[in-house]
Amino acid sequence: MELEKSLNEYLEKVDRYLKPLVVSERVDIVKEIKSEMLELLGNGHSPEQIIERLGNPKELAKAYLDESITKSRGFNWRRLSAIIAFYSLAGMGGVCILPVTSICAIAFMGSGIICPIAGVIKLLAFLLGFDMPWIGFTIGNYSANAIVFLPISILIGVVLFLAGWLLWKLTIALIQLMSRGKKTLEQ
Amino acid sequence: MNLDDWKSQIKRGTLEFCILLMLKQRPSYGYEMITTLEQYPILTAKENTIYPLLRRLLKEGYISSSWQESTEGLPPRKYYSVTEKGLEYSSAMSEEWDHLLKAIDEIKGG
Repeated sequence: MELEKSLNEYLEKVDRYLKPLVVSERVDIVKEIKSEMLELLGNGHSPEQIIERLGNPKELAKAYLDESITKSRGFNWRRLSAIIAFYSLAGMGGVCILPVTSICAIAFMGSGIICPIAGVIKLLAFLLGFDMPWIGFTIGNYSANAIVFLPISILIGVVLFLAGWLLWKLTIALIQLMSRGKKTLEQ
Repeated sequence: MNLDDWKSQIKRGTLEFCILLMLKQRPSYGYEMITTLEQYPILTAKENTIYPLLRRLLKEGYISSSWQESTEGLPPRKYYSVTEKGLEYSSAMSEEWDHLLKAIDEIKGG
């Protein structure tokens, strides 16, 4: 069934804003909105009335992204890309704060993983008879040797990872807060 | 706090209960459920609330869906129905709902 140009454009916009979701899910969402458009056309609504009823395509897409971000748990790349897409739609507040908290979260967690790996590499190199002065732990005149460095690197790694994890939680909490604030404004 | 805030909080908490109750009666599609809810101002919700909510209930296994392709001039419709898990969930919610009403009645009665 063919739709008017304005309605097709509406669906294309929604589809574009839903980019971070898997294709099958996007297709299904757009098909369902299209089905409602046909339903409304059948009831004698004009395309303008339909677009007004459905509201801003950006807001509609954001509602789907919002639901899939805040209601799923844990960390995964799909969720991360959904978050990035969400705050790019979320306006200035999101542009300033969320990128900082989310990027720091990933950087901290990443560093937390790399740290103990560096510790293991230094120890292996030491056991094989190499010295790796560019990996190490130094405070003032004290410099940890390869054997002491391993537990230190693991400890620092855990601390960094926890800090990243907390920032990640903060990011999610901020998004929930923002969407709650938005809903209050809509009433 | 104003009354509209309070009403929207109530709405947020009860919509998924209402959706499960509607689907318990018979399978339905999004637009039909939205129009049913529109009859009750306290429950009226826009597409951008109901569709994402349906998607979540679907993902969590409380409801299932199937596309019914267009027949006799009707557009294709995505029909939802409640699953076994959804029935359990809705009867647990019904129970809590009764507790709430009873508690409010008692408190009101002093």
